[in-house]
Amino acid sequence: MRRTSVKTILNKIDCGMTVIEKTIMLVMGVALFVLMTWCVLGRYCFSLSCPYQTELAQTFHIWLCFMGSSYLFAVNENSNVDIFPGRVMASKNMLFKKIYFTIIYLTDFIFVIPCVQYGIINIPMYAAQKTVYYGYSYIFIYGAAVLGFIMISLRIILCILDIWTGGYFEKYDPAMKAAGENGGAEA
Amino acid sequence: MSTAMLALIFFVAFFIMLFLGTPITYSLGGAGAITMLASGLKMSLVIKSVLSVFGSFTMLAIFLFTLMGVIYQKTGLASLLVDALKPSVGKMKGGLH
Repeated sequence: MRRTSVKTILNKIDCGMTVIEKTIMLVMGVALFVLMTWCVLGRYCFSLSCPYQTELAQTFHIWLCFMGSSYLFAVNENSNVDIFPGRVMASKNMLFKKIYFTIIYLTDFIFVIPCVQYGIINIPMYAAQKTVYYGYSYIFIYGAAVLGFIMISLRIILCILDIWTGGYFEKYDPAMKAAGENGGAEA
Repeated sequence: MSTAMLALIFFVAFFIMLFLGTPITYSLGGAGAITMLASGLKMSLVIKSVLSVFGSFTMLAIFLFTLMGVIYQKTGLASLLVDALKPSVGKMKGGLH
């Protein structure tokens, strides 16, 4: 009963974060596409200059990349070398699997924690800086990185909790997935 | 600490994390962070170096070319292009099959 409620809470947090990430990714992706298309057409067809192109593209790109990195944890699509994780996933020792995959996610923190920590410390410095053309605060660019790393940290924590509640293996273990599908078909 | 020693620390940390199954991005970042810690550099440089890469306008080309490739693949344009080229260069050595 308790495990089910924990799973429900985790699913709700996951859904909420996914909505935020997808919305930002969609808006920034479309904006980037429109901007680049407009600037290319303007430059080569209408002889227009686009001095704002660099800073706007940089802003959209950073938001898109960091929200995308966070979203990759949700769908478990990060590129990695699958030699050992694949073998461990096939193992039947559940405790070993849980510990192994927890260690994998914990090693991500070696990079993510300094980024979050020093990202937050440096916010005032970046807030004081302005971009060249529009003159908006650099925090709109830098904030994406800080928010992105915070969301990545939350995603890693969610993944670890998911491992220990068993949901992770139900989603990504091919054997458990197949067993679940067969069970569902029989039922 | 000598440069060779730092390079050794970087590669050892990187390959351990890589073969453990850590995503490649985070293996590189983690190995970099460990090397910076070992060399005594300020850790605040970690986030600055990440931003300097993402802030590069030239790097945007990689993303947009990848996006173009995905659009070509998902819409079936890539296979259409190959089909269109088959009659002209399909039978040539090194041509498309």
